[in-house]
Amino acid sequence: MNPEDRLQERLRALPNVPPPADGWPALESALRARKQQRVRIAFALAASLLVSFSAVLMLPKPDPIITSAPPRVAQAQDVASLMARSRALESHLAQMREDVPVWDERSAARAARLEGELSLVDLQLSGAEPNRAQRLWRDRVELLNKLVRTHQNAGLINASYTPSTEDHL
Amino acid sequence: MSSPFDLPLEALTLERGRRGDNRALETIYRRFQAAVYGLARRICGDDDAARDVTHDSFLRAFAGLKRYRGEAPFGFWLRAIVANEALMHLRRGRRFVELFEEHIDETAPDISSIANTDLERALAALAPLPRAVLWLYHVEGYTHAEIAQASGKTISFSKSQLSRAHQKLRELFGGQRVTSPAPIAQPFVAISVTGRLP
Repeated sequence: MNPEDRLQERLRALPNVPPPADGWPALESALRARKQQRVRIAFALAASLLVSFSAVLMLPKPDPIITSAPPRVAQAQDVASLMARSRALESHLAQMREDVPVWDERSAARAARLEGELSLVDLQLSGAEPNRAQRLWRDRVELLNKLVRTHQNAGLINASYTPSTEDHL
Repeated sequence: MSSPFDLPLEALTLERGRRGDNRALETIYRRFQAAVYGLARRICGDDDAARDVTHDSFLRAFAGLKRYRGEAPFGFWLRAIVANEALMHLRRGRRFVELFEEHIDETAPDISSIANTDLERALAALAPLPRAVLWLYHVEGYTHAEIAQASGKTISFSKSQLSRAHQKLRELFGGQRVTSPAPIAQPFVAISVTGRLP
């Protein structure tokens, strides 16, 4: 038996450290909390879609003689459409987050950076004037698109990864 | 000896788990908790981190159960998640040290006569990443390519970390023949060492 085999044998023979006894109750409560959060998100998403749809309907209709909408109305419509797009992407992301059980380091770092930028945009949006809001919502949608792509790439890495126990290099 | 993750899981339990059945999830947890915690403990090196990694790994695995298609045994799929979580934990804690080392000698040290207690102490003395790579390679049977993928690094990186772990073990155990208890400052040779390194 060569030294490498001996080392392997010795490492494998080391006794296991027993896991903590209270692991399952903590996990069960986290799973329950996650399920409740999912239900809340679904309700919030449905409600916000309803509100934005109503807002679009309540916008003053453009004068039929004028071929293009006045700038302010067009802006409001654009913001409403960006908000709806943003919500749709958020919903899609929530699903994708569950679909990526394993992250590679690069994707995780990129996702963390994008999430950080997203938080910053949200902060700016909370006190933004209408003119600025349109730009910020556009940025938000763009960041969400990038996050979706990051999750898709991480998902592809996952799909191509099948651990092997034999193929030592 | 096979991996502790190499445990059977009934298709019905898996199917119920996918639907969110609490009892099925508990069955999966109880069957794999020792393997998951053991790997997390070996990679992270301390109980608190291992507990967190175990918790997060199961949460992630349960959230992604629908994506598990049975191409590899369930335990190995779960093991990939645990290894990834544990390596991410090391990264978050900024405990990746000296990422690219010149590798010195790839041969493993001959430690056949070392006592378990000394081997445990030696493992604890290794830097987190070389220890993680050593464990994944020798015990869990990962290839360098798989370790590289899990850690987001290159194959050369994995090889250099393994060499580094071997080198450190060799330093701790190598070339010494100790027949009496060593001073407190040298805890790794407290038990008789007869193995001589190449």
